[in-house]
Amino acid sequence: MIRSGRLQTLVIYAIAAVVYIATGVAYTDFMLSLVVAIGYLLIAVWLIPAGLRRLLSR
Amino acid sequence: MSWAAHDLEPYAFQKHLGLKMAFVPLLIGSYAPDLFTKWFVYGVGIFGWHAKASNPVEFHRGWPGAGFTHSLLFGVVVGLIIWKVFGSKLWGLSLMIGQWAHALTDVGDTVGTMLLFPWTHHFALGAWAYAGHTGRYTDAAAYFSGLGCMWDLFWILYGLYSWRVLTTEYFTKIVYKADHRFWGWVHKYIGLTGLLALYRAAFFYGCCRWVAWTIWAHVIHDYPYDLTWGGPHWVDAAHP
Repeated sequence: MIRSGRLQTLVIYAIAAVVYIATGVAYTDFMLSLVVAIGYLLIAVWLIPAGLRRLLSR
Repeated sequence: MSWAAHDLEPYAFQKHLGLKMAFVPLLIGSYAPDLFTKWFVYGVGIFGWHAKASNPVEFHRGWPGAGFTHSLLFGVVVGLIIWKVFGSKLWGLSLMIGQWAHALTDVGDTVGTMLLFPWTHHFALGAWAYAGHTGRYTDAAAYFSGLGCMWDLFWILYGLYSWRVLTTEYFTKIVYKADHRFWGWVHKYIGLTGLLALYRAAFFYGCCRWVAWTIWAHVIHDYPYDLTWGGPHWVDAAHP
């Protein structure tokens, strides 16, 4: 049984992966590099959710 | 050459070696042999200026060239330098193991590596075609059409099987604890969610680029699969 916290994390990473793959196929040169992937992941699973949480808590 | 395997192997080592490994140097070691060479193999153009190795295969894997970066001795030397410069035997050892994994993995293609450099003999299994000299796109198409992509898939599946290594609990109890010096320093600037994203980034990148390049090669384009030994045979594979 997956705990709710883990499930939420899994969903966020899965959405991030789908978006990354879709844009990666379209823009292989730019997207499919390690540096871009690290930056993208930090934005997608850390900064955006943190920003949304802050907005919603107001 | 291998693609996603170099992103994913460090997680397998992490799983089996636990507190005896520092993850970041292990990952850097896994990338190290290609870090300063691959752009020159494919060629790069900036503001009208273009640079590419005249003999990409020899430059990447041979001698004369930078092929020594794919040898076991290179891992020992760089590991010793890291140990002495940063005063961390753990960092040096982890980087060496990561670099050895890279050098051994690349034995799988048709060019292979000079594992025992200065002996310049190439150890090559020849399971998949080396096509780095054909440029990034053809190389990607060839790699993701031959046994190389199956090798990557093995590491993706092994990583998914070992999913616990990606959890918050594992990160805080093992990865962070094993290398408190690095993660503690980063933690001053980034919260735990950000640290976890950094830790998982190579796994994310390896899995996603495997899927993306596979779609690119077989859905967007129409490159045929050839999973025979040494394939795909539609590409002009390089040999030492």
